Amino acid sequence: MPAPSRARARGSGGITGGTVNVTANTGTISGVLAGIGAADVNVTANTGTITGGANGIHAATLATVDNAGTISGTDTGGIGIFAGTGTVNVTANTGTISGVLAGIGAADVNVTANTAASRVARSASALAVAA
Amino acid sequence: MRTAARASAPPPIPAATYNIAPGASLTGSFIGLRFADGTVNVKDNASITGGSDGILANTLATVNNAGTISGTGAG
Repeated sequence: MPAPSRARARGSGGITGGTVNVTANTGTISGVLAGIGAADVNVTANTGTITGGANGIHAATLATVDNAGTISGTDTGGIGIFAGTGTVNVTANTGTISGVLAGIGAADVNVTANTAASRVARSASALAVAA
Repeated sequence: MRTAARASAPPPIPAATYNIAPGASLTGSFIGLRFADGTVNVKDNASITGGSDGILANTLATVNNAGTISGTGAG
């Protein structure tokens, strides 16, 4: 199994910062390492694409996501949403959250609304949360 | 006895709003747009691109994106 990729909080990201709130995304947010990288990430309406080589979203502490689009980590070891020792809360997902290694990787993962048509996919890790 | 003058702390920079017009392109060799605390509205087909980061916020970024925001890894 490949080692999980962990994007730096800053550098080679589409959006990086202390806290990043994406109130709406209908376009594309991309980074070589992470599409979004921050201590705290809130994505309240994504119908577009958030993608990074290592992580689509990398949160050091907390990621809260409402997704109807695509969030992906595309490299070997890539994880769609990664929070390390932190928490990922997916409040709704009607889209796709995927990674080569795992869809979501975090110490605490809460998926409260994931439709049957959507998927939280992975290829090789128990870190993923299946639809 | 002389008293050394103390430099006062600079005033905080207020949060700003950055509106990127439809079709506009904002490019930085390292960072496309950098600020401390701000709101960015990227309109249709507009883009923000940086060699490292598309947007870098020291504290807080609030983003409404209908275009493309990218860090290309070239910086």
